[in-house]
Amino acid sequence: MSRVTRGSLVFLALASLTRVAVAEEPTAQCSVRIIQGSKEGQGIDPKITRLRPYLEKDPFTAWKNFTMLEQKELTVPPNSTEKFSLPNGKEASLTYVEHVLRHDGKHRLRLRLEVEKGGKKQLNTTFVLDEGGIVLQAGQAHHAMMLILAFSCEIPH
Amino acid sequence: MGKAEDDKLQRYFDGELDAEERARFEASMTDDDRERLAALAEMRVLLSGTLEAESAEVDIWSGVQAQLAKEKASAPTPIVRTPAVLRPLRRRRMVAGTTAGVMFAAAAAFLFVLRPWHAPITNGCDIESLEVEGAVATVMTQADAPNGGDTTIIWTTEEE
Repeated sequence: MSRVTRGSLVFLALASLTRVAVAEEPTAQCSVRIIQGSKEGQGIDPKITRLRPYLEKDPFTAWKNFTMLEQKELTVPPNSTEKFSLPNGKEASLTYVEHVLRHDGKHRLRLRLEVEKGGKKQLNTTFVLDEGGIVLQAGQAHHAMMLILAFSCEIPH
Repeated sequence: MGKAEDDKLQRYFDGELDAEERARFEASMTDDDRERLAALAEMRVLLSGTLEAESAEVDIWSGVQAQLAKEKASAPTPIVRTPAVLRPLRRRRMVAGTTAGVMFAAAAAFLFVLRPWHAPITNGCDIESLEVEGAVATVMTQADAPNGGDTTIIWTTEEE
């Protein structure tokens, strides 16, 4: 066998090993921003940066005052769930169901969001989100105000 | 395969053998030689394709012509390359060709397997299931997100 052929075979073997490594499901780094919207007052908390453009448009224009209450960073391995508490006393959980690699190379995550109060499930939704993209869950009551949850996840690759 | 045969194969590939040597080589060619020639040809096609694509928009010919004309005027003595000088040159060319081929393949694999570039971030979201208890849920789309796409909003209105 010639050197060139041997070299090519070694290269192909290495490339296939790399492919296997890439195919393994990575852990997701998820960020949950919890924002409170109020119809009283005016202004957007300076801590709200990335989400500001979303809050300035419908359907959020009826709310005039937005405050960032909390930002949670969750490390979620595949098929795992991370729980966190909401300011309105409810319990939420985010499950990283699986990593989805689209044919065009786009990385996406299948996630499940559950919200419950006193052991009773109030919201249960499963969605597929682009890596780094944002999905918003809004409308939960918090005193006379409203909560907005913004979810975004990254996966190392 | 010895050095002499190695060298002959490379010279055959480069079209540097005279008719008699060429006929002799072809008569004694082994399967291993054919395999090596096919690999060299494949590598040449790959490299030339890449280099042509990269240089398609670059006009270097006028510069090269000017430089050649200048060198010709300033150094009229022709360079004579004896076989002893050519041999290490050919070896270097073969090593350089193989190295370039491997580097090209590695770069292609890095780009197409690992995809290191950062694709633009979009908020693409497909809701697959949605169940609510004690509330009404609406899925809305906010158009013209800052990154140019749409943003999904799961809006829940709690029942009184």
